[in-house]
Amino acid sequence: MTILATRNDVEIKNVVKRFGSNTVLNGINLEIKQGELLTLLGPSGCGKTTTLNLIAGFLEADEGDVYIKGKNVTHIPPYKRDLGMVFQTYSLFPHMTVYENLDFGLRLRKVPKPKKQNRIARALDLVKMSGLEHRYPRELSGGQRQRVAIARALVVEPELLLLDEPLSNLDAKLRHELRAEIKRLQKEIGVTTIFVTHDQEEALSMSDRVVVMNGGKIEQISSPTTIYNHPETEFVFQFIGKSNCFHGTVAEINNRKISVQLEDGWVTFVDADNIMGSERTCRPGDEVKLYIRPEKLSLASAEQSGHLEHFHKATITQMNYLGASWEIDATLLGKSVQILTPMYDASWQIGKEVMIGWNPSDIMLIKK
Amino acid sequence: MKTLGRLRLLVAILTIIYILIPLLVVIPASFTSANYPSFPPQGFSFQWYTKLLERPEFMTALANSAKFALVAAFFSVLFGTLGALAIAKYDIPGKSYITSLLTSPLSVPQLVLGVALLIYFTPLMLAGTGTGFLIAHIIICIPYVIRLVLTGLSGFDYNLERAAAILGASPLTVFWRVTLPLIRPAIISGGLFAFLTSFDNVTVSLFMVSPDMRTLPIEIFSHMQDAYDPLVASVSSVVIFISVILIIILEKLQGVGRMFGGTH
Amino acid sequence: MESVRHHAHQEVIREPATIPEPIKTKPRKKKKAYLPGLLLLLPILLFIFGFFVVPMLYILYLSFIYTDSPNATNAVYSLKNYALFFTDSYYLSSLWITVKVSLYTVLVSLLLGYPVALTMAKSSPRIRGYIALLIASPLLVSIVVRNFGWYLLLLPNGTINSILTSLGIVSAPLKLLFSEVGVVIGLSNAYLPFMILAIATSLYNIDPSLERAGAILGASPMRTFFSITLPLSLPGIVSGCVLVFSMSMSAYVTPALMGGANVPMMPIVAYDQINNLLRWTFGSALSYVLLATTMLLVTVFTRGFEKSRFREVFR
Repeated sequence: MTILATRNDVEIKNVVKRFGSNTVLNGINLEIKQGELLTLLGPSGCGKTTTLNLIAGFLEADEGDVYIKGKNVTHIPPYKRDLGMVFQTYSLFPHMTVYENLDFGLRLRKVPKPKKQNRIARALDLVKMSGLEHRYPRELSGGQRQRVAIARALVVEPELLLLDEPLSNLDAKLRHELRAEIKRLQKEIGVTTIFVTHDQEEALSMSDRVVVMNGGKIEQISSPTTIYNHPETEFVFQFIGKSNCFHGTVAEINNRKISVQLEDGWVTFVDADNIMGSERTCRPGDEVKLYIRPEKLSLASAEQSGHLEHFHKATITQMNYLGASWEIDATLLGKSVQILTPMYDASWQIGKEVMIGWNPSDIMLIKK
Repeated sequence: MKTLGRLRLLVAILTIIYILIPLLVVIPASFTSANYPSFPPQGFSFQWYTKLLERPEFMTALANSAKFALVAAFFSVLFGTLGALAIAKYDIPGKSYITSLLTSPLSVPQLVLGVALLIYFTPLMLAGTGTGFLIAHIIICIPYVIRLVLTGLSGFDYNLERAAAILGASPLTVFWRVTLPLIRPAIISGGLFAFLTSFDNVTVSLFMVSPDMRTLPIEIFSHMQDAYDPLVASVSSVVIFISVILIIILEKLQGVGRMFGGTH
Repeated sequence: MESVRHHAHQEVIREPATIPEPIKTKPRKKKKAYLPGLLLLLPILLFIFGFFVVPMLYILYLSFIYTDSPNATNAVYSLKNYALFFTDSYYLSSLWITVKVSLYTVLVSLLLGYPVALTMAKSSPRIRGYIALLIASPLLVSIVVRNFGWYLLLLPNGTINSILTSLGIVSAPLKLLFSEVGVVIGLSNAYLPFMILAIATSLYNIDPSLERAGAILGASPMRTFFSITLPLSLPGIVSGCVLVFSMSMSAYVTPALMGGANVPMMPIVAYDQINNLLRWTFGSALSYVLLATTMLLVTVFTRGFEKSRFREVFR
C-alpha cells in the first residue's frame, strides 16, 4: 500500500480555481507518476497554465488540495516547495552571469562552495553550455538561454520540473532540437516533469502521458498513441490532428462491428471499440457523427487496395503539395474531405474522379 | 512576509498624502475668520476672498499673470508646433541635436537662465519690460510644447496626408484639414501646459519683473516674506482652483502622469 | 523617301548589332528634401539661439571678466571671480550647504518614493494612472503656493507644532521652518513625483516572470526584492536621484522661503549678488560654479554606477 502511495509524485484532488466570475478549473483530478514526463495540452484558456501555476504555488486553489510527494502543499508558497521551473520567456536574471544564475538557488540552499561548483559544472555540461559561465543572458541566443534556464532549474535537484511552454519563443528548428534534448535529459535524470504546451506535435513526441484539457476540465489522460488513435471524446479527436466528419444513423450492431448508414444511403462499418464520449455504447437508430483522419483515407491504386475494406468514388477538388506529402481535398459522399498521402500518381488531377478507401478500425464514432 | 507588503503600502499612502498635503491645507485655511493664517482655520468666513477683490495689487497681478501666460502659451505653441512638425516630418541632418537644443532650457536651472536673461536684456533695454518677460517665458515653455507635440506626432500615419494630396489637396489644405485636427489634442495639451508653466513661474520671473509689472506668484512670494496674512491663503486658493481646472482638462486629453513620463 | 529607307536599310545590314550607348546626361542637382523643414524650424531656432544660447554663453564670458560694477570700463579678463569664490569660506560653505541639502533631499525622496513606485508597479494600469495623476498634479501648481501650505504646517504656531505641543510630545515648538530641515521638507515634497515616476518606469520594465523565477528557486519575497527587483530598478533609481539632485542644487524659491537667511544656498547667494549688489560678473561666475559642480557630481555618480558590478543592469 505504501509503495503505491508514494508512486504518485503529484496529486491534484478536486481542485477548483476561479478568477472573479470565471471558473477556470472545474473540479480537476490528476495523478502524476514518479519519473514520468506528463504534458498538459489544450487550447488557450483551457486551464493548463493555471494547473501548472497551482502546482508551482503561484496560485492557490479555491477548493480542493494539491499534494507533492505525499505532502499537502495547497497553502505553501512557491519558495518553500523545492521545485524547478522553466518559463516561456526564459527568465534568466539579466544582471547575473550564467554562473550566478545557476548559483542563485544553490546559495539559498546553502550548498558549500566546492559542491556548488561541481554541480553547476555538471548542470551546464548536461545542457551543453559548458564554458559559458561568465556570459550574461543578453550575450546568448534564444536557444542558449533556454538551455541555461533548464540547467538553472535542474541544478537545485528539485522535486519536480515544471515547464511552461518553454519552446514557444523559439524558431521551428530550435524547437525540434530542444524537444529531443529535454526528452533525453528527463530520461537521464529521471525527475518527474510536467510540461505545458498548445503544440500537439510537442505533446505527442515528448510525453509519457498527455492530459488534454478543455474549458477547465480534463478530457482525456493517455499515452500519446492512445490519445491520437483512440480519442475518448469528440474534442480530443478534433483538437489533435486533423479530422474529417460524416453524419449517419446506426443501422445494426453485431459482434465486433457497427454498421452506420451515411447520408446518401451508403453503409460503412465501424469497429465496436471506436466509440467516443461518456457512454461507450450505441443502439440502432442513434444519430451519430463519424470521424476519420486524413492520413487514414487512401487514394486507392492497384497496389495498396488490398488491406482496405471500403471504397467509394470521390472527385478531387484541390491538391496541395507539402513536400513530404500531398494534401488533397475531394468531394466524397457529398462532403468535402481532406486526404493526406505520401504517394503521388500522375493521374490525380483536379476534377478527376478517384477511388478513396478506408478501414472500419480507423473510424471513430460519437453519438450526436 | 505579508507585513512587509502592508508596511510598504502604508509608507506609500503616507508619502502620497505628504505630496498633496500642502495644497490640501491651503484651501480650508483661506476660509478662516481670524486675522492670521492657520490650519485648521478659526471659524468660517469668506472675508479673505472679498478683501482680495479690494486689493488692486493682487487683481492686477492676476490679470498680468493671465495675460502673459496666454500670450506666452500662444507663441510657444506657434513656434513649438512648427518646430516639432519640422523635426518629425523631415529628415533634417543633426535632427537629434536640434531636438536636444530646443528642449535644453528644461535642463538649465531657472536661476542661471534668469541671471543670463537679465544681464543680456539690460543693454538691449528689454530688462523689466513686458516683452523681455514674455520672451523669458516663451523660452521656458517651448520645450514642453515640443515634447508634447513630438509625442503626439510619433504615432502619426503620414499616409493620411498623402491620401489627401492625391485627392487634390494643396499642402496648406492638407495641413489645415488633415494634420492639424489629428494633432490637436497634443497642441492643446502643449498650450495648457505652457499656460500653467508660465502662470506658475517664479524664479525666472523674479529676474524679469519691474515694480509696476508683477505677476501673481511673485505677489504671493513677497507677501509671504513681508505681509503674512490669510490673504495669501485666498490668493493661493485661486491659483489652485485655476490649476485644478486645467489639470482636469489635461488629464482628459493626455494623462498628466504620462506627460511626466509615468505610466505605460 | 525611297532613298532614305534604302539607306537606312543598308546601314543596318552593314553594322553589327550593338546596344547603343546610353546618352550621358548631366546629373541634376537633387533638391534637398528637408528644405521646407528647415524653413519651419527657422523661427524657433533663431528664437532659441538668440534668446537662450547667446545669453548663456554671454554670462559665461562675463564670468571671466572682473569688474566692480556693471557699467565699469575697466573690464579685465581674469579668473578673479572664480578665485574670489574659492578662497572665501562664506561662498564655499554656501556651496557645501547646497550640496548637503540636495543630498538629504535625494535621500528622503528615494526612501519615501520607492514604496510609492513599487505600489504603482504592482497595481493595474488604471490605478497607476490615478496615482500618477495624484502625485503629478501638484507639479502644476505654483511652488509658492505649495511652500505657503508648508508655512501653515511648519510655523512655530503652525499645525504640526500645535499638535506636538498640545500632545505634550515637545515642550517648545520645533524650529522646522527657516532651517535645513524645512528646506529638505520643501524640496523633497516638490521633487518626490519625479523620483517616483523615474523609479516606476524602471520597475514597469522588469519582466514579471523574473520574480517568479526567483520564488521557484527558493527566494522569499524579501530576498526576491533585494536580489532581483532592486538591482533591476537601479537605472530608475539613478535617473531619479540625478534629476532630484540637479533640481535641488539650483532651486531658489523653496530655499528662500523655507530656509531664508539661515540656509544660504548658492541660488540665494547668486540672486543676492546680482539683484541686490549688482555684481553681475561675480554672479555669473557663481551661476557657472553651481552648474559645473552639479554636472561634476552627477557625472561621478552615474559613471560610478556604470563601472560598478551593477553595470550590466544599465545596458
